[in-house]
Order: sequence, then C-alpha cells, then structure tokens
Amino acid sequence: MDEKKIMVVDDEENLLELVSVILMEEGFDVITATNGKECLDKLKTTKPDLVLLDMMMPGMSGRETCEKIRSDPKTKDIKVVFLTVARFSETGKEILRKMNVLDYITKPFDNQDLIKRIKKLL
Amino acid sequence: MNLLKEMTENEFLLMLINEEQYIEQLEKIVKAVEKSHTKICYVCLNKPYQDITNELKARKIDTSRFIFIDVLSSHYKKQEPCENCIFLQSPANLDELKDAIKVGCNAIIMDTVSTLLVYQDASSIISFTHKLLTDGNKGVKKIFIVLKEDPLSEESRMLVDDLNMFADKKIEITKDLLR
Repeated sequence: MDEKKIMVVDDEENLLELVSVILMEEGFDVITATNGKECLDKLKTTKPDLVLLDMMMPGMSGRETCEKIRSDPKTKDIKVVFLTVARFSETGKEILRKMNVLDYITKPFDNQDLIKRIKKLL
Repeated sequence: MNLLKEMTENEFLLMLINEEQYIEQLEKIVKAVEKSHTKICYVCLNKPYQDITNELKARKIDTSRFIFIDVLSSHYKKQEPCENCIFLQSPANLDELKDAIKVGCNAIIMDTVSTLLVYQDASSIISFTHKLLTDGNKGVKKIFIVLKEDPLSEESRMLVDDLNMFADKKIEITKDLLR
C-alpha cells in the first residue's frame, strides 16, 4: 500500500507532535506546519493527500488558510479536515461544507477516533 | 426582519451596523435586548460608559438592569467605583475582560467587537470569543456588534468571516430594519 501523506497544521507545538506521532505509528507520512503561511508555503513543494488544519491560529486562521488552499488550482482538490476546539454553529458548518471541508475533529480528541476518521477519508 | 424574534431564537448573533448610522442602529438593537432579557451586560469598547449611558437615556432606554463594562475610561483617568459599571484598565487585556463578563447576566452586548482590532489581532479576538461562548456562558445571549465600514477593511472582513463560523446568525442591519 502506498504511504499516504498528511500535513498537520497547528500552532500548539505539543499537540502538533502528539498528532504526528499518532499518525506516524499508523504508517502515515507526516509533514507539519505551525501556521497558515507555513502550510501554504509547504504546499508549493509537496502535495499531501490530506491536510489536518487547526481552526484558531495566530496570523492566518484555519478558515482563511483553507480558502487559500481552495483558490489555488494546484491545491484546490486536497482533502481538508479541521481540527478545532470550537463549537461550530450551523452557519459555520454550512461554511465548512461550501469550502469542501470533509470533516472536523474536536479537540481534545480520542486517538482511535482520529485515526478511524482519517482512514475513512483516504 | 423581527429583531426580537432573532434574539429569542439565536444564542450568538453577529450584527453588522453601518458606521454612519451607528447610534440609530444601536438603539434598535439595545431596545430589543432590553425587552427580551432581564439582566444585560453591556461591554463598552467603542465609547466610554458615560457617553453610552447618556445616549441610551436620551433615547429613553431603561438601563437599570444593565451592568456596563468600560475598557476605555480608566485609560485616560482614574475612575471612581460605580454601582453599575466595572472599569477595566485596558481594552488590550482580553483575559481581564473575559473574567469581568462573568457577572451573571443573561445577555451580553459587545459594542463594538471590531474596535478590538486596534489593540489585538483577529486570532486573539476569535480565541477570546470562543472562550466566551464556552466558559459557563451556555444559554447566555451574545450579541456582537461589528462596525461596518464601506468597504469592510481586509482585517474586519477576516474577523467577521471567522466569527461567523461560530455565530448562529449574521445580521446586516439595514435602513429597512430601522423603520
């Protein structure tokens, strides 16, 4: 089986490391970014199968980062899942659907649930 | 649109009001909140407490059930303690503001949240908002007012778009609503 590549984007470095370890142990190839700008920069040179994107980050929010991913023809089809502490409203969920965000995982999360949901999408 | 109905049905409302009609539109919002809630926390981010209460009283709005939080006045001059107003030192200290808002009210009016962009970046404001939504404020109505410049600055637009992810409804107050 081809190794699937996941980009994890989160400004909380401990969480970034934790998620990376969980995914690597499941055999995923993991790349990381600590903010939206770094995510977009890395997407210029690498194409992950899925981006796991934190909603609330300093500088560029997850929503804005996702908008930029969708507006670039080279990255517009990349699967995006949000990682969030937030309770999205119905309006927010509708915005996620419009941005073609496949799922959102609420922090704190159950490790097995995280893996199950990501595997389902890949 | 029935503003009162919107306030009854939604927990977190994001309201965009035009800068040039600020007072007229604010009056409509505050009257609707005053009619539908028993204890109201009014966060003065745009104008000092004294100016706001004078405006509201001039428009015959009963402020006896209001608790005001003023983040501006102490910045210029030491304020005497006041029965229905909490004076904070700085609008930049969002933790202090969040703690002050825990005053047992059933509605919170943030007038106007976009003003915070002068002191904080949008992500800090979003994070502050999210804490307000989750930290024991379930069931409390939150009415966040954003001043709508024309056109909306890039930073304000980002703030509105991000706040909209959590808001139950975004309402752009138009002249029609003032009739």
